[in-house]
Amino acid sequence: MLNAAPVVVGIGLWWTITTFVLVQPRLFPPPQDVLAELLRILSNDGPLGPTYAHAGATLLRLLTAWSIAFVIGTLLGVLAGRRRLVFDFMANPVWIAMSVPSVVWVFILLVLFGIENIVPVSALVLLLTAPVFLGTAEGVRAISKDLLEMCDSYHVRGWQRLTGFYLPSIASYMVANARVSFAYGIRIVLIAEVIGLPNGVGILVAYWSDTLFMAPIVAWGILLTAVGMAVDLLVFGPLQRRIRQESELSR
Amino acid sequence: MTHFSPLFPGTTALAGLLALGASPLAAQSVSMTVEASAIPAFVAADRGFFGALEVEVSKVGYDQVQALLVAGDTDIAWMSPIETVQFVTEGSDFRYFSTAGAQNMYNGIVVRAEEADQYPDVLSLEGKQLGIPGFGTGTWASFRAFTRAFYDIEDPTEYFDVVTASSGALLALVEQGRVDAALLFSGSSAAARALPEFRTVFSFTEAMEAATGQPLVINGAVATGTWLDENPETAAAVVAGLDEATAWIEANPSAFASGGEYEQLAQDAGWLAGPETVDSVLSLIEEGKWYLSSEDYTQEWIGAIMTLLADGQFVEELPEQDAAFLAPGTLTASE
Repeated sequence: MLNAAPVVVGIGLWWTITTFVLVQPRLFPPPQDVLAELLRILSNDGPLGPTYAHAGATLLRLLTAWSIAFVIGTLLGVLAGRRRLVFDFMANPVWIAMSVPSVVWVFILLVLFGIENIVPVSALVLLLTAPVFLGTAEGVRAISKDLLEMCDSYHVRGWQRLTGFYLPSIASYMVANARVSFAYGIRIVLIAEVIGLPNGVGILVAYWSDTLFMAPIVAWGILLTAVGMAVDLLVFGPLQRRIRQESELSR
Repeated sequence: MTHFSPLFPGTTALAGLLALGASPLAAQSVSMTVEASAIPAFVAADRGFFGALEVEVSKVGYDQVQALLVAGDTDIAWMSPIETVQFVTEGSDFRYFSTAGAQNMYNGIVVRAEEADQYPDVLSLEGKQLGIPGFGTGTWASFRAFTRAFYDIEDPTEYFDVVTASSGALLALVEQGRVDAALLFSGSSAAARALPEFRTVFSFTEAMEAATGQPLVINGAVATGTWLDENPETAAAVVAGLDEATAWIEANPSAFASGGEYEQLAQDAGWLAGPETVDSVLSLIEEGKWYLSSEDYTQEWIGAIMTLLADGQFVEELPEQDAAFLAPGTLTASE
C-alpha cells in the first residue's frame, strides 16, 4: 500500500495539472488519454501495423544483443579480473565503447551495414558489453586469494575453473550486471530503431513525435518501464535472493 | 541574431501593449519561432527590416516550432502549409498567412547517378528500396499526397519497399548502394542536387509546378486565427520585413558563402556541406528560385495546394480553405 501511494499522488497531480493548468491534450496528455493509448496498444492497433509485431521486433533485438553482450562481457571480465595485462589492454576500448554516444555508434554502423537488424544489435552489444566487463572484472578481483590458491593446489583449471569456481563466486556481480545492462539496453534500443530500421517501438515513438502526439509516447514509456520492472521482479530479483541465500548457507 | 523566447511571450506582449496604451492592431513586439532554414527571418531581424516592430526570432528544431505554436508560446511559427492544414483538421486554430521568405520545396528523391537511366522517375522505382526520413514527417505526408494525386499510386508503402532512416544517413546509404533511392529533407536534397554522385528524379516544387503551375514551399508564416484577427498590422509588418529580407538575400547571396557576413546562418541551414552544395543553393537564390515572396501568396496558389490535398486524400475531410489559409490581400487591406 505504501509503495502505491506515491504513484497515486503522482497520477492525481498529473490529472490536476493537465486538466486545469496545461490544457493542451496533444502536448500534455491527461492520464485518461494515456490510458486510452495503452489500451489501443494492447489491442494490437497502431498507425504502422500491429503493435505486437513492433514490440516483438524490439524485444528480440534487445534479448539477442543483451545475451551476446552478457556472455562476451563476462568471459572477458573474468580474464581481465585475473590478468592485469588483459585489463589494461581492454581498458581504453571499454571506455571508448562507453563514452561514445549510442547515436554515434548507430550512425556509424548504419552506414557500414545498411538498414539491417545487425545495426541495433551491434550497437547494443558494443554498449552493453562494457559495463558487464567492468562489473565482472571487479567481481573476480574481489575473490579471496586463499580460494584461488586452493584451486591451484587442487589443479582446478580451464573450463572447470571457470564454471565451477569463478562464475559461482561472482554470481551476485553477474546478476547485478545483468540487471543494469538490461535496463540500459531498453533505453538504447529505441534510439537505434529511430535512426534506421523498418520496424520496432522506436519507429512508433518517432512517428508520434513527428506528428506531435504525446499520449502514445507516454504510453509506450509506461509499457517499457513495466517490461523492465517485470523482468527485474520476476527474473533478476528472485535470482539475486537465491544467490544471497546460498551464499549465506555456505558460510 | 537569435533570441530565446520568454516563457509566456503572449503575456509579455499583452503587458507591453497595456503599458504603451497601443492599439491591439499594432502590437509593439512579437515572438517568432523558426527552424534553421528560416534565414529571411534572421536577416530581417538583424538588419532592422521589421522597422519599429520588435520581433524576437527564436531558433528551435522543426518539431519544436509546431509544439510551441500549439502550446501558445509563440505568436508566429515557421511551418509548412500542408502541415498547417493537417493541424487545422485536427482542431488547431492555425492560419498560414504568407509565403514571404518561404523556401521552395526542393526536397525530393535522389538515386545514384550511375543508375539514373534505370530510375528516371518516381514510377520507375516500383518495388525498389526507398529510404524515407520517417513515417510521421511532413515530407512523407506530402509525398503520400503527391503519389496519389499525380502518380495514381494508392499506397506508396506497397508500391515501394519503404525503409526509414535518419535524413542525414540516407544520402550515405544511397551512395553506398544500401538503398536504391531516398526521399530527403531540404539540406540533404540541396547537397544531392549539387553532387555528381546523385541525380534528383523528383522534387516536390518542380512536380507541383509541372502539374499546376504553382510552386510548393516547405515553410512560411503561420499564426493562430485569433492572433491574426487581433494583430493584422503587426502581421503585415512581419510580412513586409520578410519580403525585404528575401530581396536583400537575393541581391547579396555571397553573404552566405564561406567567410560571408551570414556564414553561420548558412552553416546552420546545411548549405555549407560542401562547395558544390553552397554553389547550388546560392545560384538558386540568385535566380530567385529558392525563396518566395508575399506576391506568390495568391488564391491560385492556395487553390493548387487544396486541390493537391483533396486529390491526394491527405486527410479524411479537408477543412474550409479560409480555416487554414488567411485570404490573400487581407493583410494589405488592413495596413
